[in-house]
Amino acid sequence: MLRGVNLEVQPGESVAIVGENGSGKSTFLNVCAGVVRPDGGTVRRTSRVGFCPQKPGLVDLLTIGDHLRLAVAGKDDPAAATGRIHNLLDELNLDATLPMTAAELSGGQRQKLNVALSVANDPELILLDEPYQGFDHGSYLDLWDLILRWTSDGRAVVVITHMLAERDRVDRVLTMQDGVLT
Amino acid sequence: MSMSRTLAVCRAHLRELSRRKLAICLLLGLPLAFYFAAFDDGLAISFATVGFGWSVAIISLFSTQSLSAITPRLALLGFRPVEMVVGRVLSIACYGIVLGALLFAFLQTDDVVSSPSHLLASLGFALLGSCTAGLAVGAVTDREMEAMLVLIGLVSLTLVAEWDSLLSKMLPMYATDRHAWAAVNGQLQPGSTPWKSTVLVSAVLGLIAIVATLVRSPRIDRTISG
Ligand SMILES: Nc1ncnc2c1ncn2[C@@H]1O[C@H](COP(=O)(O)OP(=O)(O)OP(=O)(O)O)[C@@H](O)[C@H]1O
Ligand SMILES: [Mg+2]
Repeated sequence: MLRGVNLEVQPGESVAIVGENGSGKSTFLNVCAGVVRPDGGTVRRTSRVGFCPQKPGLVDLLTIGDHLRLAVAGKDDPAAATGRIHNLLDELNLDATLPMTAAELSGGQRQKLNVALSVANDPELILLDEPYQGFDHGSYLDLWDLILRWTSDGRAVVVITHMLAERDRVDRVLTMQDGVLT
Repeated sequence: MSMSRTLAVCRAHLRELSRRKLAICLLLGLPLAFYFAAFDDGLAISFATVGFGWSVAIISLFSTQSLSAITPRLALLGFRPVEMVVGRVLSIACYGIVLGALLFAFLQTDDVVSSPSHLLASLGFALLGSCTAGLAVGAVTDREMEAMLVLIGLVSLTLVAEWDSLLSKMLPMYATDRHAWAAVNGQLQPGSTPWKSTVLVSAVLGLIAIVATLVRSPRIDRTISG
């Protein structure tokens, strides 16, 4: 699927990946995250990686709270991790204490939880695969505020997007075409 | 291995299961249905323990899939495959021990039970054999339907296999059945050691479950080479 793809991201840098449906953007990000093994090549990561998959990785019958407790289990400072996720959900306007299961959340709410869980490990590199699918316009802008804050904190962000307007918001735009990144 | 991550996995499994209220009622009812169905045949105790094993096997099977949506994410967050597996087994043990204790208390009220210790052994072997069977089947099959068909096949064979045939000894609930018989008749048949084959079969199934799960788990390394 992917052919000769090469990407190096620096701390504090934001990179957007665009490209047609089926061109291999998600496959590439999955390989970068480590959840899919490449047929060849090497991924080297020197930092903690947060990954927000295109298809929300949520368990239908677990509540928001259940997901959070699971995500922060075993962390050195679970309270800090929980606080971080709560703040993020707060900024995205989703109440973290809602006693609802993932199946009961709306599409946009599920996606907000999906994004929030990806920062449970306080990542230095954040990989976002179409992170605002289903977001209302206000939440969409809030997420971009967050992304800008992350990069100014020295975190690197790679975001897959279909929106042309976002080219101005990031440091670099790369195009994926038939498994080749240019 | 982190205890808090393992316990978190166990708790997530139990929470997920606790929201399947109808399924829980059906699984609790399964051993009772088997019991009452065979009530007049003198096989009620044996059938009830097989029903219990069947119920545990189904829970074990579905536990291999219930957190699969979030497993890659947990791997990224530092959860190790062994923590996922041990957490899962703990959750099945919690379920099996509670259901087994309730069933034990109920079956003991039946006058045909003359040896409670054999009844306890029967339920214990049912838990061991069916937990490993459910986990092994779940670990090697990708889809629930295929996995269920395999389990239904195993239970059907358990019910129809000839007494003490080689086939019956190779099934995970052999010791369950023999000890259920002993619970009614006071003792095992002289020279009979059903635990040996069941422990062996369970060990093989457990090994299959562990190897298949570990091989198929997402592994997040710092450097990944294809
Ligand atoms: N699990 C899979 N097994 C087999 N092929 C797959 C799998 N996932 C994706 N593919 C194939 O790989 C190709 C690239 O898919 P990918 O999801 O990376 O595309 P994408 O660029 O993210 O598209 P989109 O914009 O629609 O999200 C597609 O042709 C798809 O059919
Ligand atoms: Mg995609």
